[in-house]
Amino acid sequence: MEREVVISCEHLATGYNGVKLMADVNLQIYRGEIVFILGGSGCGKSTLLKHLIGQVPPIAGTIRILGQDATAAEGPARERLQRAFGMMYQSGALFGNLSVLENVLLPLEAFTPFPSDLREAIARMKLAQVGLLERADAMPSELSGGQRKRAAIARAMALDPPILFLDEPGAGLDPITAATLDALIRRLSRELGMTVVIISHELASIEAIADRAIYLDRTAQGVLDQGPPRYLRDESPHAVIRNFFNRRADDADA
Amino acid sequence: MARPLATCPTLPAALTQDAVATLCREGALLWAEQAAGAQTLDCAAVTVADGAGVAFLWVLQQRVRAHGGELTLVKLLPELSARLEGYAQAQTQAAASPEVLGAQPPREHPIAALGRRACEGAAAWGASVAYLGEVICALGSLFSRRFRWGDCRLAFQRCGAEAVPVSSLIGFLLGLILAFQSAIPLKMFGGEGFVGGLVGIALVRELGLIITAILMAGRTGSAFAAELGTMKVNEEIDALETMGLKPVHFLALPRIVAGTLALPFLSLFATAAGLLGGWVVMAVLGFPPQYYLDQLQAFVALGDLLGSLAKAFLFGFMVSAVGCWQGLRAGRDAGAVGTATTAAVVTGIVLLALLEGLLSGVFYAMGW
Repeated sequence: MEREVVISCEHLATGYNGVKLMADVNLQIYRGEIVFILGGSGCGKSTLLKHLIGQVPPIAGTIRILGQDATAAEGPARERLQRAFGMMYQSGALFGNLSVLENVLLPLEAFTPFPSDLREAIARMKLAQVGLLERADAMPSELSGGQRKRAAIARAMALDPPILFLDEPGAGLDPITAATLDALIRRLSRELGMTVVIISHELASIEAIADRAIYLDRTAQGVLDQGPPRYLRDESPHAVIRNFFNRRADDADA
Repeated sequence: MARPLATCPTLPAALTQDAVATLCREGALLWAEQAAGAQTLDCAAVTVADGAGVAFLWVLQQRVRAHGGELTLVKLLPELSARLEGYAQAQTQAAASPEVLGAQPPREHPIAALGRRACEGAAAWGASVAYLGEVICALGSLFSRRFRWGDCRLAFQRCGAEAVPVSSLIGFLLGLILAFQSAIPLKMFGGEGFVGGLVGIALVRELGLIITAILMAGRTGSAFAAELGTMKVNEEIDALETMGLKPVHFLALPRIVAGTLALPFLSLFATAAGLLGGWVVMAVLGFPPQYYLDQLQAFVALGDLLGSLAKAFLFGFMVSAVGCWQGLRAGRDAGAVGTATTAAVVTGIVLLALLEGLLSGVFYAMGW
């Protein structure tokens, strides 16, 4: 069966403020998979993500999300497209003056016609899914780093978007908390059929939950190689990718 | 959601957000409020449900229960009923969680609250006096190599040089208004020739300085508070302290020195522009420039200018020190920088008024 493509980039030139980072990015992401976007520091992973969510327009090329041209979408089309994905920012980006529950309620209040008890039930269920129900009335400043990231995932999922973007979900977390977060992401993807796009360097996370990883490289001006993590680690023709997965600093023995 | 459904709602195959929205519009949730006794809902049709769908079933059950009934969901997919049960379990767990119990602190007795606030207030005063002492001690390092002249120059550029146009504009406007408005009553006594003297005395002695100082509290005091407050939120100030550098030396002192030096200059510019404004009015009233200059010379002495310049150093020090203080003691959340900025401007202006009143009294008693 042909797998449905939910995100595709064709000949995308990434960068902003006139600085081009990569000239030709071509990639496809399929429904229901967990994809990691990898690459060395400063290679433009976060910039690519900003292009995907429409925060920064790409220099050239097209992005299609669910078949729609995301680079050309404006006005109401843009808004519809934005509701197709949830985004978790690196630091969580929870609103400090709202409680955890109110943070999750915010998109529901803005975009659904539901009565308040239904909205609250949806929000509380999301919090239960990320294991934060007992902290629903806490303020973000009272949460630990891992709790903040989980709350941010709950907020990103509030409207049940088919696509979830996560920027460095495991960064700065202890291995146990990071593993809990991985298990949560895997469960959400399996149970709800969400497509999850993750930007991260955490090798443990990649090996644990990635269906596929896409390696970006600046010298290649785009995607250097992609595939399941085990393939990239052992069989990739590019030494830099094997070194990445094996945590080697140089390619002397490659 | 105009009218409640008469009968039990029929569920679609895909119980998604849009389907739930339609059901809500048709009054499915209102039906639940009227349904009495034991009800059953046939869920055989539902093959897939998203978060909104599951929550819809949950709320439906809750609403029926709240009105004394009971709703049984029959033929519901096992995975969906597992999600409902999982949520019910999570709720019971959360209700029993110690973190929820700890979330509500016991209510404070009013007298205890009063005492706590008084202590906090006193501590804040103590801290600000300690800060003032620290700044004054730090002034001793002004001529050592440790003083950051680079930062000071940059701050002087921002709070001094870049403020010249707006200070001059406000000063000019003030001179213009003062001359125009005072000309109206003075004319009744045929004394419009004295407008120049009035404008000169008022601007040189007090108003030129006061208006610039208020401007500086709004423009520079707030900027200092916002800069240092943001650094506090970003833990940069903690980093300085950990490295063994004193934030007052490193951050506050260059800014305070810059502010202290800038205000006399700005005040001079504003006063000069104000006098120019007065001259414009005099020219309109038909007096030659030389007459205006003679008036100024007759009424304004060099001592007036020097006195106001001396005060300007003091006010500049006060406004920038208050700005830095509010920034350094800012909280750590998102609203903290806003609070610190507001506090910097308000405290700056209030202290300005108090200090000005005090100094006027002293100058008067000394016969200046």
